[in-house]
Amino acid sequence: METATPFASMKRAERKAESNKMVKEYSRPAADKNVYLEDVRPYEVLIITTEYLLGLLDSYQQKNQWQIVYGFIADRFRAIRQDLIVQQLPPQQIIRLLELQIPFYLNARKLCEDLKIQNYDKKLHHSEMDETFSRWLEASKNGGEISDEIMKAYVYYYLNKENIAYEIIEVFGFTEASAELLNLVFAYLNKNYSRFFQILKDLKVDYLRNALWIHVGSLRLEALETFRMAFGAKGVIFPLDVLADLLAFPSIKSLDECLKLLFNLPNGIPIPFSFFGLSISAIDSSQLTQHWYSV
Amino acid sequence: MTSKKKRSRSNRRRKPSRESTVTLSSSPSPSPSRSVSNKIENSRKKEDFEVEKIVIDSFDSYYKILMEYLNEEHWLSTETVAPLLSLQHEHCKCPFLLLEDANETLPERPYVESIFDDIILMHLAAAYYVSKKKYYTAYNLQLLIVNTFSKELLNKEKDSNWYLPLLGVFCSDLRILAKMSEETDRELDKEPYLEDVANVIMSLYRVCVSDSRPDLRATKKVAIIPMTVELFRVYFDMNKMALLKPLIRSVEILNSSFITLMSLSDLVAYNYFLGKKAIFDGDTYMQTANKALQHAFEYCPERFWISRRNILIYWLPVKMYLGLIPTPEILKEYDLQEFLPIVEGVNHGDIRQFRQGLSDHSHFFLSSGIFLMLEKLTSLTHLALFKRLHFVVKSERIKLQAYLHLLKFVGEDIDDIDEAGNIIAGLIVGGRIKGYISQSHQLVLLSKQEPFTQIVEK
Repeated sequence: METATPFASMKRAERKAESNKMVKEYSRPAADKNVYLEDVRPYEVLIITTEYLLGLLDSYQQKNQWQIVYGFIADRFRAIRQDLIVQQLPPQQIIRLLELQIPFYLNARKLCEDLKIQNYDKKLHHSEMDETFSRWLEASKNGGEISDEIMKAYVYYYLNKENIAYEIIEVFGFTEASAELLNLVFAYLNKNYSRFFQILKDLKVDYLRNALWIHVGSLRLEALETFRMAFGAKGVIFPLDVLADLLAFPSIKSLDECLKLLFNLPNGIPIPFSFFGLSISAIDSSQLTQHWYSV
Repeated sequence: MTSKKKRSRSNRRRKPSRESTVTLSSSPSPSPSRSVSNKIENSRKKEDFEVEKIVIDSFDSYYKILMEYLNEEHWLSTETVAPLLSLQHEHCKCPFLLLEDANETLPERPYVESIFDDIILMHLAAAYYVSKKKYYTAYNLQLLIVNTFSKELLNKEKDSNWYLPLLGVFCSDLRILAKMSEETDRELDKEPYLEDVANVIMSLYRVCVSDSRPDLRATKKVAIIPMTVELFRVYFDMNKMALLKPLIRSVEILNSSFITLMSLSDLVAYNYFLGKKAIFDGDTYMQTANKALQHAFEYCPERFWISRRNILIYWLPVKMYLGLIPTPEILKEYDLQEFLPIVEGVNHGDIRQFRQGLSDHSHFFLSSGIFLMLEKLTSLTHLALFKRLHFVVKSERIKLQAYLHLLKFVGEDIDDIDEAGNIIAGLIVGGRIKGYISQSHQLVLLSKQEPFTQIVEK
């Protein structure tokens, strides 16, 4: 990304570096490594750098470019956070910087999993997401003002976290925005699949949809297990198009693949479809394939 | 339990004034072990057992009584005077014991070489700083007490355990001072206090757990349960409930002889925290929560009204979740009127009253940590409402549209018939309703025999 032709296939020695494209990379901390003050970028430079990196996302939108773009931006964002931590910026500046990064991480996760990116490490990405959100939350607790949208993204992402409801009240207080989020948390806790998937369908902002998206697979699994019992009487049919719509599947085909796996139907889905007589395969959320997450 | 007839020398000199004295009865602790409390009860009935009161009216009497009892190196003697080394005991209000440096008051102390001399002086200094609201200094002194105790007694004394009644007292004070320091003296030390306390108590716990001596008079394992209770308190304060699991497992595999030695207060506290943890573990652990909290409530003596109330705060939602509705009388007896609209709502399907109750008393429920638990009772409120509809319709076939209409009428924010179906589906899967839903006819078809299960409790 720091060369004249970042996406051309050529030998390393043939690449021509362009200094105006160079951005400080992440440097792994070590016991014998010193941090020099002159290397730490001030806040104004960090903002400009972040905006430059986000600009690259707009410039390079083709799927075959994503692997290189993702690897570069993820690393440079990590370096920005490193400089941010070292100089202990005031909370509002931390929030400003991190609120620019958070949408990238949320969108990047989905894109990397959809495109099966080689250099994408799910665990590392998740831990960087955690680190970013945790510093953002800490800055909020220390008096920084946060945006409602990122607050939503935080709650959506951590919807299955044990004490998320208490965190909403403790950190964000009782506001209209937090009340709406609490309703979603309670809907999730009370297994109100209908409401969850309706909210998912209604979301227009990409990174918010992608924040909620991570829970889609496990909730669909739970919902189908519930429906098998509640709608599983003899003679009771359940139209597949209704089921697909209820669980926000983009097509009946994706739903079919999920039903085949869950109910062990290698020969296909019986039409008309009924939950009656179906037995569940022992699968857990870690075994869910891409179809379970299709939106 | 032995009766110790010890007379304070100061008694012979002058009559102590009520404001500046401490009396310590020979009953060892506020919550004696079950066997001891039974003995005292029985002996009171027989009137052949006199409990002598020990009066402390000066530093001299305090010091000498403490040292005399501790020098006996006997469990019961240590247990008797352990409150005199607790910052929560009333002696810490006596002006003559609030000494920043007791060396000045009584330099020629008879037991100055004893490790307990150091501990007593540090304890009184900590009490002094607490009285001045300098909690951070008091906390550091308490830390020193714990470290001294650990180094000089816990790790050095191999074949005896007579000093262990002090361990719980010291750890409890350390935890409380950590909390107070965190609240008032945050700027003095930004490191998390409770995490340090947890590490200190855990290191003491490990010493006790690793002791393999079988003799109850020598093994440090007898301190496992009081230490477990202290760790429970710390981890709950830190909201790190996952760390309780290995502690619970250690108690479960403990020899039954240690369980019988458990004091009543430890028994109640242990079951209370066990019940609380089970609530946070989720729906499948409600039976465990119920059993533990019931145990805690039944064993907690009636005179500890506040403790019983605290247990009820967690037990009531569990009971309701399992299908049992508390009476207004018990809510009144324990001043838990906040639960009244919740109980009424769940009992009669009055969702409006239920939600209003949650909102009106949200602060109380949030600070108690049961807000989410009560929110889960929404499904039971929906169930009660559905039962009312069934009663009115008098049919086993109920239209989902009718239920949706009823939900909207009582103020629920639901527009979608699928959501109404979702609610019923959840109740069917949860075992509350026997029946099924017909998607195409949008009908709920109930079982003709007992469509609603009564009590889920086992």
